[in-house]
Amino acid sequence: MKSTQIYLTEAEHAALQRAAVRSGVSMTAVIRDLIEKHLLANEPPPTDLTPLIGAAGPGRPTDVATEKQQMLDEALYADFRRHERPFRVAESK
Amino acid sequence: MPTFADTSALFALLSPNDRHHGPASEVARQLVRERELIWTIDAVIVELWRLLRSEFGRLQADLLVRGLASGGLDVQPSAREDYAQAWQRAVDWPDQDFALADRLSFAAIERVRSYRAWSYDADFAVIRVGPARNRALDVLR
Repeated sequence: MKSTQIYLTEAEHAALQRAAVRSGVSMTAVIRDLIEKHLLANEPPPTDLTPLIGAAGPGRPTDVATEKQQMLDEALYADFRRHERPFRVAESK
Repeated sequence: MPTFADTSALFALLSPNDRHHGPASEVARQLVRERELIWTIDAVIVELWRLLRSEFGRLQADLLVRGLASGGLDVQPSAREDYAQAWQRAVDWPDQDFALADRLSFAAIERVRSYRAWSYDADFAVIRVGPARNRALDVLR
């Protein structure tokens, strides 16, 4: 939470106070609610990764939290095997 | 407060068969509700891409990593001083086998002084940061 100071006219302050009493909340809560409804509601979140939930397809069961290094080692080994050239034996004459 | 995402969190979000997929999905929704910026570093993206390629193929890996960027994941380059910090961490924590990407992550988190991290990797719960090296990360799980 960050603190800020604002200056209101008498009428604005009175209106804010009435709204707070009506809703049974603090004036701060009324201001935050107004910001939420009028400013934030129209603004997209800076990051939204929810469209990618499960986007990788089924795959095999994993636990990257504990198996990351092993999986990376396996990936490296698979790369090595993929690029490995068959051993050539020189033909004897 | 911006939230750092590590490889385990991003992989778990993307892969429905990862052990932490359920919690990761919920954290992603929570961060949208909280309107948090999610950020990471290059090293995590490279590590993630290698894992995704190994599990799902190169085309899928490319698409998924590009999708993360399109979703607003902020990918920061590591600073020169992050590497110095990363090497030092290996000296300071000789009993821990922190991966380089993790050590660079800790250094970046410390540099920007934003201590919230989304991770299922136990190393993120173990590490201590800050000038006195006594501050735990606020780990989202």
